[in-house]
Amino acid sequence: MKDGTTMRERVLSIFKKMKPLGYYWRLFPAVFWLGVFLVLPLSVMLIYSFWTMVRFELIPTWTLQNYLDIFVRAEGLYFRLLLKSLGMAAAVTLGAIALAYPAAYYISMHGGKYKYVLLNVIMTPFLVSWVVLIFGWRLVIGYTCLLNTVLMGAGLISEPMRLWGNWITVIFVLIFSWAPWLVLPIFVSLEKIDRSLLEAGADLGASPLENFRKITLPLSIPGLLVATFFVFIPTLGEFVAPILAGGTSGAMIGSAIEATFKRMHNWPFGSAMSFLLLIIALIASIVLIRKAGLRSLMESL
Amino acid sequence: MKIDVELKNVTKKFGDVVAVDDVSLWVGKCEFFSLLGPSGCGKTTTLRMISGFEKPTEGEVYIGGELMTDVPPFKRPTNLIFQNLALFPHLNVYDNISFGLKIKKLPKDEIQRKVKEMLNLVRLSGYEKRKIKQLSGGEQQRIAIVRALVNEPTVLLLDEPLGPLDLKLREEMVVELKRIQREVGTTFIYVTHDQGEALTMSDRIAVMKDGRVLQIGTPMKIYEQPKSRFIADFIGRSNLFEGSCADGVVEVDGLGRIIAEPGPQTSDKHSVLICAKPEKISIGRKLKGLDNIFDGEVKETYYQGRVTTYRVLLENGSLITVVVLSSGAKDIFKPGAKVKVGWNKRDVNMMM
Repeated sequence: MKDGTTMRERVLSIFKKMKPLGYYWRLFPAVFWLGVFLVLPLSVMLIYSFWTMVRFELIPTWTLQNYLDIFVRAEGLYFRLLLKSLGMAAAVTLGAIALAYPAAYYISMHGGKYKYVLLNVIMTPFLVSWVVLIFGWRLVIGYTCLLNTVLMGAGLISEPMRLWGNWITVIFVLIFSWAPWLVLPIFVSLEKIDRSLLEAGADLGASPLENFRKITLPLSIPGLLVATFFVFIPTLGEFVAPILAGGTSGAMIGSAIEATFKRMHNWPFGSAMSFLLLIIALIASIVLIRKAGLRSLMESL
Repeated sequence: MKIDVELKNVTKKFGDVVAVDDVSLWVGKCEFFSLLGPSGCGKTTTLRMISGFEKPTEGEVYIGGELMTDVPPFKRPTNLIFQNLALFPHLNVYDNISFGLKIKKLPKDEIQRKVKEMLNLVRLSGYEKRKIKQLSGGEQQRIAIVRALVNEPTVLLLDEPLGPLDLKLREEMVVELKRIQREVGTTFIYVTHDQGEALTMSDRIAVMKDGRVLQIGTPMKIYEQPKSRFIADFIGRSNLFEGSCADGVVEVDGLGRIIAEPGPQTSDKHSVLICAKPEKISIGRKLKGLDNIFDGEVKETYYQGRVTTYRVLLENGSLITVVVLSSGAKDIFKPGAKVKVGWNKRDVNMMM
């Protein structure tokens, strides 16, 4: 009898320990998804980045040469491309915020009962494929397209301007495609500002402009950091817009990685560049998350 | 008395809803003036029209003798303490208090001196660097008060700032507010639905209901001589008797005669309302020497520590409330006890 009870207790205690395991199983879909679709390919890429490719064949050499190559190969071309991409990503971020902030501000402060209608209208560009939008812009500002034709017809210019196919075009196109996205996080952070704070500011003598500078803007900084997070990191690795609208001067590190993989078939070098980019993005994310707080980031999503 | 704030026939409509209906009142210099009324009576709207956040639909607002009806809030010599305090969460205590002074571009050493003075006033010296989140409810309260006071407003407006505090803290802050007002000598206009707060602190009270001012007067006047049934009921519980009056004698159906002080017009019979405050009524097995004595039966007894409250049924079927100081267990009347209740004629108030 005594033995039997202990057996039963043992079994029960095992079941008690099993219960928490049951909870972990609920994480399975997420873990599986991240493991198979993120960790696995990235691990393969990380391994490749230490290998060498000779005549289309991968050789497991375990070398850091690929990473060094980023800084020295082609007289530092790749490194300069990386710096240029950082600059362009920063410009796109600033431009998109400059475009989105007034819209978000207007909707939040003066939207009234049309607030959410206006927000939905802002979102309409997402109904159209991004590539289609880029080509749409090409039809407007391309060499023999609408803008040039109209301006020449009006006699304002004698020959068409080359507005398409340089780095400015890439920034322009990216700003326009990102701006609607940014309205959302900025709107959310503006909505969270207690309106009585603005009344308190006015009561203490602040004009509307001073109120904006001293209350609204500082309190919407979390939204701006989230916006930066949304734009800066994806733009850093951007390669579609440079290919479609960039020409030679519009190339970014993303286009270089794409070319390295597809045309030069140098997978290890491409992997090394990808990983350096990933690390930069990771550092940027950590800095932004620490500034904005994970919570405000998630709330905007 | 010098007048600091004056409202002349002010009306405010939101769409079809009349929030404030033809209100006229004045507030004297250094006065502690309260707007008292139930929620939705228009007291906050009235305050917001003085501070400039709402524009009157009709009427005029004068502050310090100047017409202010169309002046925006940031140009008015008033400061408002908000119901939710509205302290700036991204700024520390020092930056909160100095907000208005910095906008006025005062020299830095003067700002520092004033902030220090203000923190001394509310006994929070050394709190300059604290964040708003780190402060307790009462501390936030005080910071909100000095953030407004530091600007030396002609009038300080307070919109139920003690609402979110618990009872004990409220009682402390009531004393504190009165002390601050005495020390700085600024005109205070205080909005509240709490009659206790209003009676304790105010020099004068305006009782509001449905957008109108019903009565303006000192706390004693409002409490002892309410002008209407609503005020009599809203401020302290009152026992009301309806009857017809002639020569200071009121005939109440089923109860008999109540002797009251003769009012201004006494010759004709007219219907009146008699108001007897619960603490003015005596209760006992035998009562002598009172102008009015009635038989009654105790229905409910509430021992509340300092006082004991009785609900007594009179012969005409009306249930009155009597509050007496508690005087030991043997003197308490249990429900069912036959008692006499009575009062002197000068202790009741007659309304037309």
